[in-house]
Amino acid sequence: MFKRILIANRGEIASRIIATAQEMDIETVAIYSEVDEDAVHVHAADFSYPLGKPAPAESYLNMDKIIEIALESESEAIHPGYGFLSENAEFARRVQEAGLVWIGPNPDVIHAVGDKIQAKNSMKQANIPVIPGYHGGSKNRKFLKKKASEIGYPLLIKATAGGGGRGMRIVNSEHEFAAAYESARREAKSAFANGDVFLEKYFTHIRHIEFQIFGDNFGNVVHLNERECSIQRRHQKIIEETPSTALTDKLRKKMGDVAVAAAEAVNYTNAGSVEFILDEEGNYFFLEINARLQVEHAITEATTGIDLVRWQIKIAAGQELPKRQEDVIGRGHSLEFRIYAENPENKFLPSSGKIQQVQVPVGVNIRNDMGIATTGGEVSTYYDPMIAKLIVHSENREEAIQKMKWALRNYTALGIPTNINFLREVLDHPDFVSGNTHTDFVTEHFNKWKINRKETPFQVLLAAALFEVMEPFMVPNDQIEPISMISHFDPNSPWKKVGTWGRESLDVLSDRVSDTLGKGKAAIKRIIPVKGDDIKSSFIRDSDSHSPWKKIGAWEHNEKKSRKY
Amino acid sequence: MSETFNFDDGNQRFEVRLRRDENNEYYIIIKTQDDEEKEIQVTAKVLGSGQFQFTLDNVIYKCSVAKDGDVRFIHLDGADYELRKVNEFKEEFEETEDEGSLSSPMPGRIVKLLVKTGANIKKGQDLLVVEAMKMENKVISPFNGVVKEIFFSEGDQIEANVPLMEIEQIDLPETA
Repeated sequence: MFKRILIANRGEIASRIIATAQEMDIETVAIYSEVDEDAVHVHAADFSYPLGKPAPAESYLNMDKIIEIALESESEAIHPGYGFLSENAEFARRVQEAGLVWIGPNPDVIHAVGDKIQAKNSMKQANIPVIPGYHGGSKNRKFLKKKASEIGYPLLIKATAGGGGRGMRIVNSEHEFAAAYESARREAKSAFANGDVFLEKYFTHIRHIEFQIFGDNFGNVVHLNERECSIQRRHQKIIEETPSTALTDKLRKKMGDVAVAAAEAVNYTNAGSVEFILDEEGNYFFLEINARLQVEHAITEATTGIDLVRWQIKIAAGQELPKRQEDVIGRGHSLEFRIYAENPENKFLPSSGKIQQVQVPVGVNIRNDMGIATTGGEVSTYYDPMIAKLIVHSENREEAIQKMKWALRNYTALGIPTNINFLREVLDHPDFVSGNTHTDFVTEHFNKWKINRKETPFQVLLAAALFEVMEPFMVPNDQIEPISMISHFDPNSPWKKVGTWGRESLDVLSDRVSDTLGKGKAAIKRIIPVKGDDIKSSFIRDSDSHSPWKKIGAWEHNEKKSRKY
Repeated sequence: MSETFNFDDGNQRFEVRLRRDENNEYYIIIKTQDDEEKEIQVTAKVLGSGQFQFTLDNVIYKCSVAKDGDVRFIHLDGADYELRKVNEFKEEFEETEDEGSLSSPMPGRIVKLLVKTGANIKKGQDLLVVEAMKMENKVISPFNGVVKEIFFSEGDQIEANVPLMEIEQIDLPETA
């Protein structure tokens, strides 16, 4: 097994991967851009390295730098999470060429399924039903328009290299085609550096069903049942559940077999999901294979009891699949609601700024995967606005909904617009409760949604007034007195490499440690100080009278060589 | 002694008065626009930063509040509310919103400007395309008018709620 891995991602998914790796006694290396210095994943990891400027191309998409850090930190493998470089075949290949292990599908598989046209052709050959459309790769607008008329409207223009709804346009009639085509190409080019598009028949009232698949390097493939991800806005999922209310045991078996066949058709390895659309008559069509761990993987973990990241790491380390198909058993019902910094009252446009209050529900079978610290934090404009995932699991769907209701009522993230109030209303909608979900659910039932603001209850006004009176007595979260505990001396400590303490590196260290302590953690972690010119030394704690530093003792000047803990 | 606070929930203005008596007990007096008044005893306890609980008629309410300038974000009893704290003296100045300028709905990057300075534009016309989180979003004109000035060029990074262009509003006669 690996001794140390690097996680080439940020936020909740990086933290989630770190947690499993640490359980497995694997040390973790986090990377972070300038705006993420205080992000949750940086605090969670055993080591952290700066990437520099926040723009994705210069940070989390910077292949050279990430591989360089992996080598420098003596990591043996890289886990890419989802998004960023996770489905980049070139990166996967370069990771392997650098002598590192890629925790994900092998580069040839990523390449084969990443080109959606090629993937569809492979599926056709394997007799798997695909959506009617044009996948010929032409760039000629007139020709495509002719093809569009043949397929019939409404239709979808989709980016060949795309995902997450980017570079995708719905065209309702012929005269909208030209503008939609140009706009889709432009968006695809900017998002994926590839403006190629294809055409597909657009179905309404369909469900989005995906099967979790896993393959090892010995030719074994299993599926871990389905996830229904029909509730979407802006073509991005916001609510997922398993099992789907639309699948009978018979249909599940049939589609599961097809998913495994699809994976086998491309010699799939590691984790992925096979996406289908399912119409009201129970017909299903292959949509695409996502060659990564999905955002919504946690609901599968809840019902199957399998830690998907653990499986990913084991398979990447050369082990066989831990279970055979007949040993995979789904139990109960699980829901995931994604918490976004966005404004549902204004077309779900992303919001940014400082979240000050975060309180998450805790209870039996309630899981919070957090991209933001419980003391709050800054949501930047550089990355995806998803701030957390709330996952519940119960014996059946009705009870899972009850649990989710309670959990959402007790979910607090205040300071900038979020979708929490919106999610609460979705959960109350009779069609959601009855399981009548489809991909047009949000546009159909929540078009131009405004929060249902009746008379403001007087308790709320009272709370507002009490806050004004009591605010002076409230201690800011970052000044709550910590308990300090210093971890003992480790012979493999990276401290050795540090050498003489520079003034700057000390600032970075003290910032981190005091923040860690402020969040109620009791251990000082090993944090590799960075070179002086990479540091934006934002604040110096010495001037802060509340700094926990004072209590720990003098850091500077006493010892010049190295420090032991 | 008593202290008065004014809040606006977007629909209505409320005045909340808190009275503290000689035993350090708090009473709340709430008045709506209909001039109804109520006085109830209330006890409260700080739980943490922005977190407290209060008791009214034996009912315990746990509450979180965050503030951003005048805005108060409040979580109470399973729901979120947004109020604006109104300062009576400042009121006069705050009402002067810049009517002719169009603000960015979100932070992002301007990928395409669809109009030029001096152009006549119609209500609902596409003005520019902003890319945020790699999604394109069109900004449309809120009224008929003439573009007086554009403050950004294609490729510029913009924050939320900054003026993007100045539009002189013209009331065109309804065309048949």
